[in-house]
Amino acid sequence: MYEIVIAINVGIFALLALSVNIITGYIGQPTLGHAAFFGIGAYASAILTGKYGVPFLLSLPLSGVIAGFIGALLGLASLRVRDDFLAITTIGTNFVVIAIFQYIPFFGASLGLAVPPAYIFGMKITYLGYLFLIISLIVLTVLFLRKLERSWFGLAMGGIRNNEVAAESIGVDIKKYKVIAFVLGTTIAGIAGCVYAHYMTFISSVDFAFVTSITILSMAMVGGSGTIRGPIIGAIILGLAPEVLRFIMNYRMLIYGALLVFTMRFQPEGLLGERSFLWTNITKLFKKIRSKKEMESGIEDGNS
Amino acid sequence: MAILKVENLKKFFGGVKAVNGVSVEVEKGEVLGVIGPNGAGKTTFFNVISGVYNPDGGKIIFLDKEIQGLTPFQIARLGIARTFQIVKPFGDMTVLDNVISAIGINRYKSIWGSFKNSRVSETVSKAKKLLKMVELEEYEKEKAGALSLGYIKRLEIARALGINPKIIMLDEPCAGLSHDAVKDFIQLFKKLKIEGLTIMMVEHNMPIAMALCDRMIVLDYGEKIAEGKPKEIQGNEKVIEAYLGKEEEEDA
Repeated sequence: MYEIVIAINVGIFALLALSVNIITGYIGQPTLGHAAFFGIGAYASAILTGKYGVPFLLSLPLSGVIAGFIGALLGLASLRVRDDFLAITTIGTNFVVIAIFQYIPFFGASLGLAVPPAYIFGMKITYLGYLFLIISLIVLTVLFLRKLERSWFGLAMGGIRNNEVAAESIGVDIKKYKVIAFVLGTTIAGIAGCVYAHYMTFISSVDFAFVTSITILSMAMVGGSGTIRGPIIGAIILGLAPEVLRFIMNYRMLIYGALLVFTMRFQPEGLLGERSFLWTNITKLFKKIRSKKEMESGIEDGNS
Repeated sequence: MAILKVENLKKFFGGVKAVNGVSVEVEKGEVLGVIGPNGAGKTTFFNVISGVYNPDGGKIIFLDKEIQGLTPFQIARLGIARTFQIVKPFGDMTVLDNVISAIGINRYKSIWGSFKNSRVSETVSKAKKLLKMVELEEYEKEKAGALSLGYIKRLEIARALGINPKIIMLDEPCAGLSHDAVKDFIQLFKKLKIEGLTIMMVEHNMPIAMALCDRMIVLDYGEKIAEGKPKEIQGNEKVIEAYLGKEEEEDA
């Protein structure tokens, strides 16, 4: 039971880290307010199902759409402000969204919102069901991202990440791609929020505060931004760290923080980034094994 | 036939007249050199044509269509490619991907179209052909940012060719290159010329510009002070004056 709860939590954050990575890792726009969209998805689904009786299966995509729509607005803002200024704008967005949840009675204000349990085809989703749901969503996202990486869209994002003037010189409409990247990232975050809300059955604005944004971004960065494996591994490491380090309860945040600092100092591309120590050695090892196998099979062929 | 016509082009930065009423016609298949002393407005001239800056006056007519005020990506899609004086490779992408991304120029028009797979064999082989032309085929898997300056400049040319341009603008392709790299560039340039490409080139190195260009315009303080064949330019008094300064009357 305890393991399943932890796994669902890690899974939700893995989905969030993958989604923020579209904006920061792929298209290179700093965003420090991703938890806002996680929250928008959660509140959207809580209200849709709780107040309007929308079934969970419909509110799951709807909460993504709502988060994505507001994400598009932030994307439009990102066309006007850049770099540090965009980072601060996204932080501001996070605070504004939290304030709205906290002070407007429609959103439960400081009391938070109770979320009705989710049913799929008349069956209440159990913890195991949530685990299955979140894993399915991660798998779908990974498949989508793999397609994205190899598509023209992926190349356009890479161009924008590296140099906007050069990207425009090869015909990339950078405004269009930036807004879409924001929409994709925030939509997935909204869907993660919906799952979180129903799984927790109670949400309040603090769940989606700036600290959560930083946690999500840290997972993507520590794991290796701009990759698919990175955010997942990052979510697992940073998600499990507080649990594994429970025996040194009082110092666990210290270790957590130190891990962040050391990764940024010594492995700025993340633990499993493109040119990181771990990843280069893993790929080397695999190459060795493969060439060994090929040699062996070559010898066998020669004998026969 | 003039492929590109620039009429009375103006670009001001506050009180600085970076480009001030320049007119020029570029014929199909020719190499037009744009030369001038530092700060003459050569790069600004390129930036206005490629849409990075909006002009403050004048017209740019490309294939009988006015293009001034269009965005850089629209201008690129029409077939005007460029390289940069200060190189701008897609540093964390592979050399091959740098070129492939340019070949996709028409795929970026529609969102749904851009979700299609870019690594199809037709595209990859076209990119490899371009890399072979600039002699970078053995570096295709390297990250573009890891290449030396001379290689990056050649990669930028391959990337510019990737959009299948009707005219290519080279902004100081030899600046900062070693003697050998310059030699390599001249070889590559001759290949481009054989392909019949229309080329506009800013170049500081006079012997190279003289040798490679069919025709030249000379800019000074944003104005065109001379135009003609390299030989004519060489002897032009105004040009010598712009580069070396005016001799004083008493000394004469």
